[in-house]
Amino acid sequence: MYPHERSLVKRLAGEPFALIGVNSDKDLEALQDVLLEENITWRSFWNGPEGTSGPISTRWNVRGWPTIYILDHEGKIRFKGPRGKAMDKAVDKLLAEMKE
Amino acid sequence: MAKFRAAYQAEQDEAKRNKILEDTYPNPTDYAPRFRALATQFKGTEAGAGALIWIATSFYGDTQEATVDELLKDYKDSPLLEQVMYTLGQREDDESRVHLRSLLADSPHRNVQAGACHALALNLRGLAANTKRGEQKEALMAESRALFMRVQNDFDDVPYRGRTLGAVARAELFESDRLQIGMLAPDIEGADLNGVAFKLSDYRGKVVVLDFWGNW
Repeated sequence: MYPHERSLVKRLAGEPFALIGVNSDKDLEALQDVLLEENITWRSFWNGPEGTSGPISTRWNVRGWPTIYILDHEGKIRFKGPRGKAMDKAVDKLLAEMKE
Repeated sequence: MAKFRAAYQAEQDEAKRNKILEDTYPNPTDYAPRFRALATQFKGTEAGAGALIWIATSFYGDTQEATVDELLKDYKDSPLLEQVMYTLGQREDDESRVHLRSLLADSPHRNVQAGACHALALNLRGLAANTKRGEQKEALMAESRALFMRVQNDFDDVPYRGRTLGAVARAELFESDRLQIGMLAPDIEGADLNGVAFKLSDYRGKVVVLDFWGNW
């Protein structure tokens, strides 16, 4: 999944777009190496030391990882779940709406 | 299973782990004929129901579906049906909803009623998501909501996957009320992976992909 996200972030650099993660790894220190190795440049909230039982994913009732929500520029939930090409298409649609 | 677990945990390399998984993980297909024989031998008893439950919870797809159907036909008063309520709720046909409604109303066991109530609430919300906007969609969401409320009121303390059904239903209600398509996303306030505080709403004005992820 990282390669797709990297290419999405790269393709939309300069556009009004952000990929925001909520990371549910328990060990924040061990994660730092992964961020470097995988070139994960996008920003993530940390879900805390309880990992997948942390407060953010619990509030958002997340039961599977990864879980994707796509929000428009007004902060409204517009899509749930699209991955890969479907994610690209959804984001492009919302960016096009902004320019209408 | 114990042999598999010990070997798997001792090995760090992913390729080797996968080999161990393939070679030593108990394959349900090897055991299914024995459980099937038990189900036949003890048909009509709790042991017979238990054997079918094992099959229904060890397989996916057609085998699971056929076994759940068999349980609903032959063991509608068994307390063990609780274990297949979630699976039944995942189905999209009308008949499954009829089954859930009748178990909620007529099962002699509170745990089965509770599971049916929760599964039906989830099912109707899924149905609403696939229904175009309008009265029908609203009605489905309202009924789903009422069933989640009923779980909290009547079945709050029923254990469910290490939690209680009441707690799970409260989380589901939050999802119904705040996390549906078209709703303003709840704000998130937290810290990034460098410990710097920020909010989801800082990104208002941009299209945002919110990705719940983990490196595992």
